[in-house]
Amino acid sequence: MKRILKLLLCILLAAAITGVLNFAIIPVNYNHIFLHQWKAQYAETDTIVLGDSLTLRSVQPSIMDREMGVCAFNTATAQQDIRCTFYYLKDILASCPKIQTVYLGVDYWNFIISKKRKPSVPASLIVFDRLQTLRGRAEYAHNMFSLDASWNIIFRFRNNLDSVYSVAENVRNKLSPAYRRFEAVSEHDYNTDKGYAYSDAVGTNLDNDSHDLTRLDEESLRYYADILDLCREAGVRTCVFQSPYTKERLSLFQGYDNYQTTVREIAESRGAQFYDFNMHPLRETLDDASCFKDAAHLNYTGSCIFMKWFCTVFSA
Amino acid sequence: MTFISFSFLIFFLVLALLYYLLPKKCQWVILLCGSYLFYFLASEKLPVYMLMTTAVIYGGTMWIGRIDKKLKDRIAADADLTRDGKKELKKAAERKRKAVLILSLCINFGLLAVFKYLPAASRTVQTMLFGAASVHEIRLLMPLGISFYTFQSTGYIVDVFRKKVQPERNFFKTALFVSYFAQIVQGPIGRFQELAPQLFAERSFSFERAKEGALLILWGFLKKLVVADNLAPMITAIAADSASYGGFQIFLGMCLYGVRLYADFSGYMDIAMGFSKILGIELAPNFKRPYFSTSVIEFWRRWHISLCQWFRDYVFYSLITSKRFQAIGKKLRAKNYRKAAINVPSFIATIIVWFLTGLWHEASAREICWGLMNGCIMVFSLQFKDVYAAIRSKLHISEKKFWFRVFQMARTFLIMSALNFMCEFPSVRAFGQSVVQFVKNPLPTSIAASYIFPETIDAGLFKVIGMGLGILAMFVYSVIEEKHGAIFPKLCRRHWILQTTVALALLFAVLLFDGSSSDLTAGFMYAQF
Repeated sequence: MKRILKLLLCILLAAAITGVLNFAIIPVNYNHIFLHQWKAQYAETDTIVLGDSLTLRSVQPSIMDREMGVCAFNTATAQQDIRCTFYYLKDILASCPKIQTVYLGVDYWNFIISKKRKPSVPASLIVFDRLQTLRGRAEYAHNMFSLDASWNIIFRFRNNLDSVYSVAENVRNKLSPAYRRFEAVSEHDYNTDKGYAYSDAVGTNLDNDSHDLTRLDEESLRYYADILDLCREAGVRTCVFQSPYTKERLSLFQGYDNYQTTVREIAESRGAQFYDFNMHPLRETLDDASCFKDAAHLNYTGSCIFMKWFCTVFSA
Repeated sequence: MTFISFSFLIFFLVLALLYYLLPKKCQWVILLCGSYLFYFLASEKLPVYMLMTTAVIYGGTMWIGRIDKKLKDRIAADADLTRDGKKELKKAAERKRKAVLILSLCINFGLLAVFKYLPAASRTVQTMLFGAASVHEIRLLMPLGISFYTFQSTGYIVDVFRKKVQPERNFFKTALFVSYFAQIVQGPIGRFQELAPQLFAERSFSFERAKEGALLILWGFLKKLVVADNLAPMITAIAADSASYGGFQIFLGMCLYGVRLYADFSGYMDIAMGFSKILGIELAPNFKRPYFSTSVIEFWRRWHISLCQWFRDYVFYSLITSKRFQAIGKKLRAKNYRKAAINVPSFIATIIVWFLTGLWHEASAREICWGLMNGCIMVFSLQFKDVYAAIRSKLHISEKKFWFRVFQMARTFLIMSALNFMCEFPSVRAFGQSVVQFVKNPLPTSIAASYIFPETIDAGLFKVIGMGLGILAMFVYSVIEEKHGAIFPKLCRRHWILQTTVALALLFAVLLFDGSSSDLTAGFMYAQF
């Protein structure tokens, strides 16, 4: 009996340390505010926007609400894999009864074969936190983490340790009253509302190791088609879009035309609308230096210009 | 599935529960089923080749046993048998036994040769005949741990042949001895007389044993995940493109390669011993703080002990006691070369053993060179032992002096690290390039962490600090163990709060600083052999 008690105490201690480390090391990001806002608004939402950081940095749901007369929410996350998006959408369709339209932001990066392309564990965990249903969580964990990576759900701090200074700053941020009030506390990641997060901090240009790769990833294309099928079966209107890249970055993508044609064909064959904003007639007016925060992502100014085009294209 | 995967932990938990909860008579059956399931899950194909080896070994040992029994019965039945008659019968039986042994070994090593050496041999022959451009690769998936289980089963049949052990009559028990999951991937290469009784014994759960086993597992995880895996990117990058790095970086890479290899391999051993300990099975230690060796000969008594002992017992002794080697000694003695009569046969045997050790690692010129270089160093150090002693006495250097021992240890560490690091380079040219770089600019040009730990620093300074602490912990642990013996059994007798603190410190150090991929699927370095 004494031994069992000691063992239990040991497990409790391990759990407490895990809790402390998770609190101290997992960085503050937009997801904290997102969860708070999503919880309050998901039942009313009729339009959702899905995608990765390109979408997160470009689509402003409040403008959509105003211009298109919908109740939209941007559920995109940085580094969101297309597989992630599939399970996330499944969960949203099961838990949000009013969904009528899905805007799916696609990214060339998500469809090319690269050795480095692996779903990011912290990004996958952010989506895991957003899932509403138990079934959705179980299915997501099973498919996204595999058994060997599933312990990341408990020991989340494993993938986030940068430095002692970042830990100290993180703890300070998490203990601040603003954090408890669900206000932005990080200077690099401002959160406005309805899931849209913008940043004027200059990011580094993404590595270009895979730019010369042109082969499209079959698995990603399959998941993309499954997403569109899922929407069609649920009777939801689907609009697929590609946010603009900087001209410099776009010129590096050698397989871009093939990607665009394939993604368009899959969308149209499933009754979805597709629009590539890199081909927008006014694209030339979007200046690389003043409208982008880095090689791939729009800044707030760029996003406001983009949203005008977005609403015009999809309202038509 | 590897030892460092979450799925293995679940697998082991279920196995241990069944092992202790089901009737004790079934314990070895559970181990057998678990071992085959592990092999199946780890190798992703049916363990048919391992089963073939088991069948050959079982058939061979039973056949030898039957020949022995027949001979015994015949001699017992025939009281009128003359001394010469008995001798004749024994000779005939010996011939049969030898034939069975050779047949079994041929099949056993034939399987190993097909999977491990055929692709490389075919590549070499085709390159020689038709040139490198027209080589048709033979692609064979090498069964997991084939080198280890082939050697283990070979040792068993040779021991039966030498009448050191009785053949096991139960086929499934033989199968368990060949396939025991904790040692199938990287050894240690077990001996039947030591391992088999433990595998077939009936035992109850011991909390003390489980505690010690768990601590060993955590310690192994620390070595593998925190030290070896964090060092890997830096070492791989230097070996792949040595021209881009300075001489100091190459030298540091070489030293850290020695640390990485030890952390990776001995980490696996600690994990394997820990899991076995929980099940009540004591695996023979495969490492005894090898970097405290004062010579290369001593190093090989402390590093991969089971493989070295295997070659010593089954190859070296067989060669040295063979008629041909005895004849060499006799010839030299006849010509009055007394010292050479003792040394030459053992030196030839040493070189052969090291050639085979290199070949055991991989069928490549690189590994064979590595083996031969080890052999040559040993032969030279034995041959010039007296010369060294004379120099030492002239310089008034006592072998017992602490600083001299430190010098010897550092020398051995550098020699072994250099030899092992050599095998990491993709070509002789790349290795030569690194030597040129080292000679050209041996001094560091910066003290920045990004210069000293290139590539590794990409994972973050915090991981580099964790790795440094891991190396320091390994060093302190080795010093204590060298002076006072194994640490964990003693720790398990101390206050439980101390035990819990150590266990939690190890657990969270592993979780915080591990340098493997997030799904922990990276394998062990020695698993490729």
